[in-house]
Amino acid sequence: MAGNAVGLGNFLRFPSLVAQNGGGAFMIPYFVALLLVGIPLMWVELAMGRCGGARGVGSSPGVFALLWRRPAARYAGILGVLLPLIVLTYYLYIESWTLAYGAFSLAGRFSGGTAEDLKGFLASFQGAGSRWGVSAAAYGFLLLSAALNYWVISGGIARGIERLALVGMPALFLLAVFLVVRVFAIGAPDPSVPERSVVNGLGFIWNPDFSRLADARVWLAAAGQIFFTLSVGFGAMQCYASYLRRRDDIVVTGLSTCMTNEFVEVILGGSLALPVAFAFFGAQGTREIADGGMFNLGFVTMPAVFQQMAGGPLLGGAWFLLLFLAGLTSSVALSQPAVTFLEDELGWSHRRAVGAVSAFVLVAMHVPVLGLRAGALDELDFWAGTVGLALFAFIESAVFMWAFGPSKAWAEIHEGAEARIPRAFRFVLAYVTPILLAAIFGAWLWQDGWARLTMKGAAAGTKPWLWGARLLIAGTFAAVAALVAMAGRRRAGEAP
Amino acid sequence: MTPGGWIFMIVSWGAVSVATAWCFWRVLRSPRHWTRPEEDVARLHHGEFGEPVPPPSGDED
Repeated sequence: MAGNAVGLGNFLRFPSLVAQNGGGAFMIPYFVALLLVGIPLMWVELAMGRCGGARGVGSSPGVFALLWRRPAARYAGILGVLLPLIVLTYYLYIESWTLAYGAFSLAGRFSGGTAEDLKGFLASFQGAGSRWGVSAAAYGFLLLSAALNYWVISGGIARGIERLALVGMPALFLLAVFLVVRVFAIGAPDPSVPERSVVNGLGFIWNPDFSRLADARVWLAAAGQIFFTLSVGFGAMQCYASYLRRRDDIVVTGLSTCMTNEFVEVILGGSLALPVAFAFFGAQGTREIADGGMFNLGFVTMPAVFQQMAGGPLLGGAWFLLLFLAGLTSSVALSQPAVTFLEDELGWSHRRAVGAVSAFVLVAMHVPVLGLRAGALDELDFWAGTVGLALFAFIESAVFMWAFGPSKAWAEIHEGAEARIPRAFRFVLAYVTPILLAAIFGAWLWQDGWARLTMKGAAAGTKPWLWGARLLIAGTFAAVAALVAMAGRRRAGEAP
Repeated sequence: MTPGGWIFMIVSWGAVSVATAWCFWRVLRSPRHWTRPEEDVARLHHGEFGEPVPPPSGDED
């Protein structure tokens, strides 16, 4: 599960979000969201998933129908299939960049380039100036990544993921520790601008800034990152947990998954791309790179670090290829809710389910790929990877703690656990988590919802792509809802 | 970096490190967490608990 949680969110999405949301202003809501929403939701998802798995269901619509015996329950689980599918359409593209950058690094393509050259290289790779909005190299690596994903998924959830994670995750961790030590030695790369240093880059993240605590966008971004990075609010953890046994300790497993991920994200992920970007480009330049694309920061800055190291091409290759492996374990996990739903609820074979999900992703991924430079990828990431996750986390929390019942939910979480969660967390799970999520969502709608919905400030040329991204979400929602209705009729037909 | 930034960073890193170490200590000292992946993988499927488990009551408790 830690292999699923640790991924591109730690090293690529987190630094960009910190930069976009004012550095120190972001970290306070981030830790509040981790403690009051992320960790409790991890326990909720694992308990819901195991409860469903014991009764033969592993996807959100099935689990919800089991826990909340109402006709609407199944439909409340639609987002648990929809969100991972949508996120997968763009996550796969970012994942393919890591594969490409691994190959480029090994081939010495970054040698001798300045930090500005690396910005240009990324833009060119992403298709700047290209007629189709995507370069041939980026498209080729995307297809290769999609094929590798298909190969792993069709091999079955267990065989693929366990073996990859067992080797790749420790290797990525060790390399990240080594790189953090190296980054701290960079100091101020340009002696004429001594304030641009790695230490001041850390200050950009950690200097407390209370001025934006009333901004709901920062809170929503922080909560969204917590969900994205822990892989909760997707239905993916629920799906994995459906394979747990009654004697498995959800309390320690859930907390271990959260804390391992946080160690990688806060200490390692927070000490690499962002401080380096600050040292090379300053605060304003860092924000501009982050605003240019949610995942761009790590692709511009890390090659700059490797260039300053002996054996840089080799280390850079290893870094990006291990990131690819981390991304692969996460993208395989993202595909599981839909695959499991088709198998469990509609009785499809594994091969047919994997084929259908892969075919959908193969077509749908063209929206974020071709519309990248118009902001389609970031639009999908905002609605599915931030707003959608917060919304589904609220629904999960309400179904488990309110509809299923707090006493039974608490007992289910502790079934087979050696450790006990402090009693105060029962109150947090039942009231604080859902109410905090509702408050963040409500405040965001009040402060920024209308402007975002109406695309205020978006360039006219980008709007067709932004609408395309929204239509992709809406169309997929309708298709998943129809499948959930079919599953409901099928289950009703099975009932004695 | 301001003194407040140093304090915030050190406290955050310390809290995350201690919590992570505690989790690893709990996992490593418990034989139940030392699962053997090959064995687990071989028996991975839904509803593996022998006796059928009845659906939970949907009633509020």
